[in-house]
Parts: sequence; structure tokens; C-alpha cells
Amino acid sequence: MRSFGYAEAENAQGLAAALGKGYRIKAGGIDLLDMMKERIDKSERIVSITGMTELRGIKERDGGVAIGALTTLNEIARDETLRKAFPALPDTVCNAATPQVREVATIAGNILQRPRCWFFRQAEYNCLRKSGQACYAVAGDNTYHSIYPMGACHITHPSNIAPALVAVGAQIIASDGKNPKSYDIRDFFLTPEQDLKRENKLPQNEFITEIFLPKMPEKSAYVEVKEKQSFDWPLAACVATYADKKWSIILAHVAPVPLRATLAENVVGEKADIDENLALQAAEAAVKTAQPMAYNGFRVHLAKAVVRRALLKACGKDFHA
Amino acid sequence: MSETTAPKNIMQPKEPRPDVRQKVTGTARYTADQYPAKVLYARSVRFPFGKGSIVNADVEKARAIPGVVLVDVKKGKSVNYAGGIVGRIVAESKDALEDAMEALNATYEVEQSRTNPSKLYEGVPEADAQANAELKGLFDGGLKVVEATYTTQVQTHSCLEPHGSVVDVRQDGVEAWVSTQAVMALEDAVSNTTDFPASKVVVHSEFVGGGFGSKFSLGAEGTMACRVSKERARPVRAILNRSEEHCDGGNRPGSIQYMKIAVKDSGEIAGGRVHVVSTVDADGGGGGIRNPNYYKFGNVVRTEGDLALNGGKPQAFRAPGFPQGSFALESMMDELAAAVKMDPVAFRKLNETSRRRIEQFDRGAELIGWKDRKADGGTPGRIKIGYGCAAGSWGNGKGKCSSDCEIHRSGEVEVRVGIQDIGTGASTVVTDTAAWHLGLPRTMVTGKVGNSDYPPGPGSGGSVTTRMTVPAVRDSAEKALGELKKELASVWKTEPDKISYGEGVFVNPTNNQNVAWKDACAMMSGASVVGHGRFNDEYWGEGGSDTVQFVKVEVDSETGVVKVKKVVAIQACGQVCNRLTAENQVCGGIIQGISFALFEQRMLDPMTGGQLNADFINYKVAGPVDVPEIVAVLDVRDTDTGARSIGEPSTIPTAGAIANAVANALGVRVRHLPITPQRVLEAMLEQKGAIA
Amino acid sequence: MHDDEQSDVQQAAFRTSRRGFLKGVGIASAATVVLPGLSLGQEEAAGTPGLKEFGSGPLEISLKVNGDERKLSIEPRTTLLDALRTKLALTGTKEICDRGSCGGCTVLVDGRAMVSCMTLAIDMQGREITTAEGIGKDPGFAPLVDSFCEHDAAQCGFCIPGILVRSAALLKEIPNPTPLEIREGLAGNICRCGTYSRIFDAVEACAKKGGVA
Ligand SMILES: Cc1cc2nc3c(=O)[nH]c(=O)nc-3n(C[C@H](O)[C@H](O)[C@H](O)COP(=O)(O)OP(=O)(O)OC[C@H]3O[C@@H](n4cnc5c(N)ncnc54)[C@H](O)[C@@H]3O)c2cc1C
Ligand code: FES
Ligand code: FES
Repeated sequence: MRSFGYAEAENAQGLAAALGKGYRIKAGGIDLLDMMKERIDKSERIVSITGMTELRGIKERDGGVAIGALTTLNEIARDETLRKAFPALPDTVCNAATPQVREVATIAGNILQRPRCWFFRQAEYNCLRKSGQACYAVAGDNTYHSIYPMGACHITHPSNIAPALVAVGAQIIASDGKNPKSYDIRDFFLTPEQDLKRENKLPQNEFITEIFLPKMPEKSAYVEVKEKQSFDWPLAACVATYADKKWSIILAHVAPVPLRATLAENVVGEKADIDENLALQAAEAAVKTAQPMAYNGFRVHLAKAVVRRALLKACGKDFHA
Repeated sequence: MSETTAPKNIMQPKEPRPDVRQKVTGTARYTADQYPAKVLYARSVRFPFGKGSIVNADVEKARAIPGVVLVDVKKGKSVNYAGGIVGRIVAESKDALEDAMEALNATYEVEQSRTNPSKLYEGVPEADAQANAELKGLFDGGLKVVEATYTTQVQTHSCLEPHGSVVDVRQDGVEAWVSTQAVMALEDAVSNTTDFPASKVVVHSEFVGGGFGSKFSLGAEGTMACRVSKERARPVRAILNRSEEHCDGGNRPGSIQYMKIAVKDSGEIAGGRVHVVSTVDADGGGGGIRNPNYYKFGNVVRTEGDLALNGGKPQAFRAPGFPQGSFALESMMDELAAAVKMDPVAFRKLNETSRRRIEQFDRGAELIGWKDRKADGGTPGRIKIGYGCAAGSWGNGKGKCSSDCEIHRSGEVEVRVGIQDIGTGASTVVTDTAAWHLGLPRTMVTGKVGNSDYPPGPGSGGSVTTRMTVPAVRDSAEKALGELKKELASVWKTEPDKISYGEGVFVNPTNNQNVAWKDACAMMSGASVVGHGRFNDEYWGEGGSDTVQFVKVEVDSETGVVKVKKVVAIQACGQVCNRLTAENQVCGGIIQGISFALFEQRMLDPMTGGQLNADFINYKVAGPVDVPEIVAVLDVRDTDTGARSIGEPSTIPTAGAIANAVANALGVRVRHLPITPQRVLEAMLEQKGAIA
Repeated sequence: MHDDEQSDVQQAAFRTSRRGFLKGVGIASAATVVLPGLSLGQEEAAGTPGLKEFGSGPLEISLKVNGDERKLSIEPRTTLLDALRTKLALTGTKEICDRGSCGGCTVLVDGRAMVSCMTLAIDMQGREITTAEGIGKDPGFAPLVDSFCEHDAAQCGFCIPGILVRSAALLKEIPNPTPLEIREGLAGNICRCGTYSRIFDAVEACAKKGGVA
């Protein structure tokens, strides 16, 4: 791995100071070290925040649930409160990555992880998201790339958990060491059109302290399709939640950001109970704006399938029938 | 999990491999675990794209990094696959080596690569006039004719222990650790590369983390380790990383297989046209698709060719050419059976060439529950169940092997054979065979392999190790016993052949008294006696390696996801030297077959020729959740008195059986491996016009 | 084996030949950020409250591995995997993918299974690290080790130490796992030889006999 200067932050003040000195945060380190090993992230200084135990844990608060930034994916998967109140959320991480990765990977790190695009992840491909001139996915093998065009770069957002957070309109609570900041996760992620080099709005001098879910949905479901069943990034996934007479339908792994399927949400409207027919119509609507690339047309069909399934599953129905 | 039919006559130990505890607790030392004092780290500089050369590299900057010993880069050298070698770096540590790699900051000239076989494929060549006339007769004669083209992907060996060598060239000789499946051949290779006579070279390969056919040669990394060690008079460690392993660690070539076959209404196959093409590297060669095979295909006009791609070089891969061929021909068998409206099992039995397999088909059908198989696409709902089957076999030739059996004064026995254990249980076979032959408890016997100073044995290729080794080990045990009898005879003042022996007990002919093994051994004049054995026909015996496999799958017809639920394998292998290792081989063959059928494929970028998935995230290998219930039946008969092959035949039929089960489930046939959701959905669209 | 017909068309959109386009593609993708005027050193370490800075050079640390406190010299970039293998000669922890995707390097950290290739050694001070070798010597895990051995749960064996360690953690998490829980619990481990069935049997049998302590 590349050489770097190392520090440990003991509290918010220390961390803010580190960020001021150009340090990059390491939480679980799963993504950061991967990027360093591939020599794509060239950070000269790394600050570990795993000692800031106050950033860890799941608490009920103000009628919602606050998840500390350092809470690991396994802690979320095992959490009884979430399992009861918002089962789709633990479901998104139950099979994400591997048990050994989930043990260290944190929720903040997960939503901030860099794209898995196989051109971006190889130093030899100097793509748009680095400092290059072109997106290699356009003329190259784009099997796993976006099926919704959102600019010149065709990544998909890699986080399993982000779509569940988007579905319930989570708040991302951050800090610059002095003042708390709050971001609505629904406009936290950036499309390539908005910014080619960054996937979210978090500025370099801030760090996430917690993710706050203001309200638990009445219904929720997560459905994914993977090529192989022992750890794999999904080809397509969907989180559907129902609260206050509104459905949220969020597609994952098909677009550069967790994608709110507003057309599909319009189709189902206020209806609490969705039947096969309506689910199918919603699914059709969800992929209306899809525009696949040369190799990934099949994933449009999968996006449709996961929307249909997520809606039926949220309503307690068997989607295999 | 498994059962054995008709055992009785012969050895069938079922104790775990003697070295299992070392492997389980991590104390077994593989080549990759060797870090001799003052070791240098060496790695090749590789070209990352399909075709082209390095234009520029900052060699000076790389050399200036502390701890960097040597940097060579061949600018302008043209390379024709991603992973092709253009230089080398040697450093005092892995970190320094990687820093130097980055400092090179290379720029490249990249040319268009050949990556897409179906685009490069030139179709089926015209057969000669006479053959053409025959074919015309066949195809126009009112028979049912099925025509199809099948393709298979490139699969990388993906040994978990990468290829690698640790070499220490000293003034008086060479000590090398090589992760190899041919320890004897490697001694020659090291000797040639270092200019030391073989007698001054020892190659260790006691534990090998998988080979699957890709570890027969010293390789560029081993050669580099030898040369640098000699130059620098220091031990050198050259172990590939995962990306290098995928790009340059060997692969099973892909294939395009055209078949047009005519079948009589009776179900008898009449013959047809077969053209097979293997997708190999730019140098060509190394293909060899085995299609047709196993069944009576009648009068077949067969041609074959290679298709050169800008990809890494193929290496022999567990049953080279067979799983690819099997996938196509077994798919065709099912398509033919459907054409004449026959049950696939009945159709196979009718056209079988092996009596043994005909029986195996019946047994397998019973164990998988073939009677529950519905018409193609017949399961209601979105989740479809399907059943399929396929056959396999393996060659049976004799060969060379030698073995030393040393009986110590203490009664302990050590058997040494210059073979290697790449996971098959070769050292277990040596131990158990000698123990069984001598009638001793296994705890008295130690089988040793993986050292080039041992008597020469074969490389582990063609599943020959067990079948060559057993007769040699028995021969050496018998000879050692003869030596021991000579010693006893001189003590007891009698003739050696008057002394009888069985099950650990000698009979002293002069007084008819029983003398236990240990007591007898204690009488020897020296520290030990040794029997030098060779492959001996007397111990060859009978046996074969026929096999059939049955598979049950579940296919999600909306998403195209295939899950294998159960596999039944009926596997003959002659005499079973150790049941546990044998069954383990069969299960392993099946699981690799599943992985080949559903997941694995080398992805070369059509634009740059770079391998896009030289890792274990996008190169998908079957993991625990993908593993079904496996029933591995070792088909052993009273007549099976000789050890035969098992490692390769067990992986041949799996992909074909899965493809057939998927077709049965969906009523749609996927003719291209791997059977990913994409392929399933595309096949449904193509053949039914709609998905689910 | 994709059809790249369409990508050829899209290729034209680059308005440059494939050759020309790729020419000059370099490894260096982003200019290295050099922080002006800052050299990491002692004076800084003294400075900032709430922040402990260590610089990038070699440093002495102490790790508790398999019950023993061991001193070693590392750099901040040294992974736990490299430290175990090259500094402490504990080569039972295997490097297979070096990217968190194979499980070969799994160790227990305070009883939980983690991939040591994606963990920094420096971060592991004060934690209890257990490798396969340590599990092999721990009487509490003896039933699991024995079960692996009895079931001949190894072919080439290269993946097995990692799988043993993960299995040990799994049985602590779920003392009586179902077959699916075993499979999912081991989903981060790859075995190329396909020894999985034996491994499942070994874990299940151990659980049935009373598990690990
Ligand atoms: C084999 C494998 C399979 C995987 N499969 C999946 C999958 O299926 N689905 C999925 O979603 N993910 C998957 N992942 C990715 C994995 O989940 C993420 O890498 C992980 O969640 C990142 O979390 P971390 O804590 O390790 O982040 P780190 O690597 O520590 O950090 C990631 C980024 O976030 C920043 N950061 C972290 N915490 C904060 C904070 N509090 N404030 C500000 N910035 C911060 C860091 O600076 C860094 O840029 C997989 C990974 C591997 C290795
Ligand atoms: S080596 Fe760490 S997970 Fe593969
Ligand atoms: S036993 Fe060889 S990789 Fe698992």
C-alpha cells in the first residue's frame, strides 16, 4: 500500500483539526484501504476515528432512530429495534459484502464509499472521475454500469444501505468540529451531471456523526437480484416503504445515485395495499426513463422485477406466485 | 452426504488425511509462506492492456526509492495480452516494490485487441466433397436433424495459493520452494535456470495451495527468482498477486461448438457435422475441445480450429477440453432426445458406449428423483424446477513412478515418493496404501511427498498421480518387507522366503512362533531397511473412471437467477485408497463445475483488451451459499482392484447437466456459458419472445 | 463474450482513434496532494488536543496475538495481515486476494472475525487477536478443530485456516446454526477446491456436539 502519515482522533475537536490539516478519515477502512491499495486514493494522511466510540450505536430519539456514524453493518443487521420497525433496513445489509467485512464496515463509510466501476477502480484507466478525458464505460464493457443516464460518467452507486435511508428521508448529521450540519439524504448524493468527481455533498472539512431516521415506515421491503448468492453486488435492488399515505420506491445499483422512482410512486399513489397488477404498472413506470448501455439492457428488466417484488413484499405478498 | 456401493474386497480407509491438522490450524507451510532471512521481493512489470507497449516509464524515479534493488523496463516491447511481462522490479520489501511499481508512472501505446470470439468466428468450414455428400445423405434422409451452436467462456484457474517460487541460490547448491504440481520436473527447470546440476538442487513442495493444471512449469516468476537469486546471492521471493494470477496464471480456453446431428425415430443417433473452435491466446494452441465423446454419435464429420485472442495463455485445466465439450454434447443429447420425444435418460442409455454408465444412469436417476421431472417449463409459478443429467469418464493408461519404503528399527515406516499433494490427498494415498499393503496401523506409516530428492514420481496431471503411485508404493513396501525378511532370516538362520508375514505378524519358521512387527523390526542389524519400488504391473488391477451426474435446479424465471439445489454423482474410480479424500475430490469437481456453469468468466474489455475482473469481486467463484446438497456415490465393484482416476472425471459432466436442468425448468435452452441471469433472460426473449 | 457491435459505434463518438485515445493513459490519475510546509513530526504530535499523530515512518508497536504480547516494528501502512505473516511468522493467516473478498486472512479481533488484509496493524493495539494457530491451541475451540480434522475438511488447505477462524466466530454468534446460517455465515470465504460440503458438516457436527467455548 502507499505510505501515509497516520493519526488517531480522540474527539470531534481533534478530528476537525485533522481535517484542517488535510487528513482523510478512516472508519472501517474497507473502502479507503482498497482505494489506497489500488493507488487511486493518494491521501498522504489518514486519521482513524474508530476510537471515537460516541459515534457508535443505535438509539431511539425524538420519535425516530439515530444511528451513529461508526455503527457497523453487522450491528445494524443484528439490531432488534430496526428489525421490528424497519425490516428493510437491516435486510439491505444482511447480505451486503461479507460477514468479515460487515464486522468492520461502518454505515457512514458505506454510504460514502467510492463507486465500484471497474474502470474507475483500476489506476491504468484514467477516467473522467479521476482526471481523465473520457468514461471508458461508454465504449467498453458496461455490463454493471448505470442504466439511467445522468451525465458523462456511468457509475452505479455502490451502497446497499443508502436506498433504505433515502426511502425514509434520513438526515445526515455532520460536524465541522464546531457546528452541527444537517443534510437531507434525498439531495445528498450527486449525479455526474452535478459533479463528476464527487458522489455526495459532504465537504472535506466535515465528518458525519450520525444518520437520523425521523420516522419509521409502516411498511417496508428490500429486494435484490444477484448473480451469485455468496456475496455479490446486486445487479439491481429496490427498497419500498410506506408511511403517511405515501410510498417511497428507491432503486439501487442501477444509477449513479440511489434512484427515487417517482413515476412509480405516482402510479401507486396513496394505496396502502398493492396488488400484482398495480405493482406491475408501477414497475413499468419505474423503468420508463431507463436508457441502458450496450451490454446492460437486461438490467432494465431486473429493475422492473425488483420494484414489483419490493412493493408486493412490503404488502406481505408472495411475489413468486 | 455420501455412500459407497459394494465395497468389501479392497482397501477403503476412511481416516482423515494425516496432515489435516496442520492445514486446518495454519501450521502447514506452503511456498507462499516461505520468508527466508534476507529475502528479496521480485515482481514482474506487466502491460495492463490487450495489445501494445509501454511508451514511457520513470525507471530512474523507481530506482531511487529506498529499498529498491533493481528495476528493468523494456520500453517499446510489444505485448499481446493484458498481463504480458515488460520488466521486473526487485526490492527489499513488498512495500518498496509496490512504491517502485507506482513510481514508474507508465504511459502506454494501446492497439485494438481481439477480445470477442463470436465476432471473430469465421463459421463452419466446408467439409471435403465426399464428406459433404455423406452429410447431405444424412441430413436429407428424412431423419430428425438438430443444429445448434454452443459457446463456453474463458475460466481462470484461480488457485488460492498463487503461482510462485522462493529460491535460494547458494554457492554449494540451490534450495527452492515452488508451488507446483510437478516437483520432479521443477528440479530440472531450476537446475537449468541456475546452472547447477540437479544433484545440487532441491525443490520443496510439501504443501501446494491448488494447481488444477496450471502449475507444471517454473514460469516467468520462478525463472526470475532463480536468476536474481543467483545474481544477488540472496534468497528471492516471487509470488504473483491476485490480479497477475487471473491474467497470467493460466486459464481454460473458451469455445464455440457447432453441431448438426441427425437422429433416427428409434432414438439411434445417425451422425452429423461437428466443428469446434477454442479461444486461445495470441500465440495459438492449447485448445483441444473434446466433442463428440461418450455416446455413439454415428458418422460424424469433425473439424477443429483455434481462435487467437489477446488474452493470457491457456493452461491445462482439470480435464482440459472436456467440460467444454461435455456442455455442448450433453446439451445436444437433450435436444436430440426432445426431437424424437424420448426421455433424456432413456435416450442416453440407448446411445451409450459404456455398460457401466448405463447402470450408473439408473442409479443416479433414482437418487435425484428423476420420476418427479416435469415436461420442459412445466412447473407452475415463477420459480421453475428442472432436472438434468450428463456423463463423463477418464483415461486409464499406465505410467512410471518410483517409491522408497524405509522400515525403521523402531517399526515405523516411511514411504517417500517424488510426487506432490495439490489437495488431492496424494500423501494420504501413499500412507494408506503402504499401511494397507503391509497390514499395519496407519499410525506406523508416514507417507512423504513434495520433495525433489525423493524417488521420481509423475507430475499431477491427467489424474495419474494415484493410479501411478499405488503400484509403486506397493512394490516398494513389498521389497522393503523382503529386505526385512532377509534380516530376520539371518537372525533365525533360515531362508527369507520361508518366513511368512501377515497383518503385523511374522512367523519364525524354525519354531513356528509369532513375532510381532515391532519386535521383528528391532532385530534388524542396521537402523533401517529400504525397498526401492517402481510402478509394478502386478498391482495394476482392474477399474475405470466412468461417471454420471444428475442435477436438480431452481430457476427464477423472472430474474433468470439459477440455483443448483442438488447434485448426485455416481463415480467409479477403481480401488478407493481413502474414501474421504476420494469423496472430497468428487465434491470439489462438482462445485468447480457449478462455478464454471453459472458464474465464472474472464471479462476482457472490448476497447482496451484489459481484464476487467482480475479479482474475486467481479470474477465470481462459487461460494458457500451457492453450494447445493451433494450426494457423491463412489461406485466400487468387487472387480475394482486397481486405483484409477477421480479428480478430472468428476468435473466433466456438471455444467452439461446443469444446462439441461435449466432447459427442463424453463422450456428454453441457454446455449452459452456461464448461465447468468443475463443469458437466461436473453434466451427467454429470443426463444419465447417474452420473459416469464 | 459480448457483442461489441454497438460499442464500436459509440467508439466513434470519441472522435479519436482508439490508439490515439489511449495513448498517454498513465497510471498517475490525480496529482499527489503535497501539503506545503507540513512535515509530520514530533512537534506536531505534541500540538493538537484530541489528535494523536504518528507520522508515516517505522514505529514500534505491541500487539496481543494468541495471548502473547508481541513487540514489532511496522509502518502505519502495514496491514495486520502483513504484520502477522512477515513480522510474527504467523503464516497460517493467508494472503489470497488482499482486498477483503476471499476470507483467507480472517482473524478474530476481540472475538469477532475480520479480514486482516483490510485492517491496519497500528489500529489493532490493545485488541485481542487470534489467528488460526491460536485457535489450534485454544482448548475452547478444540471441538471445532477436531471436527474439521475428523471430517477431512481440507483439500489443498490454503483457504482452511481462514474458514476455521470464521467458523469459530460463527459458532460463538450462533451456537446452533441451521444449514443456511452456516452457508451465509461462511459466505465471505472462498474455497477453490470446493471443500465446502465437508466444512459445513464439520461446523454442524461441532455445534451438535456442544459447540465451542
Ligand atoms: C468483498 C466486498 C464486498 C462488498 N459488497 C458490498 C455490497 O454488496 N454492498 C455494499 O453496500 N457494500 C459492499 N462492500 C463495500 C463495503 O460495504 C464498504 O467498503 C464499507 O461499508 C465502507 O465502510 P468503512 O467504514 O470501511 O469505510 P472507510 O473505508 O473507512 O471509509 C470510506 C469513505 O468514507 C469516508 N468516511 C468514513 N466515515 C466517515 C465519517 N464518519 N465522516 C466522513 N467521512 C467518512 C472515508 O474518508 C472514506 O472516504 C463490499 C466490500 C468488499 C470488500
Ligand atoms: S486476503 Fe484478505 S480477504 Fe482475501
Ligand atoms: S481446500 Fe483448497 S482452496 Fe479450500
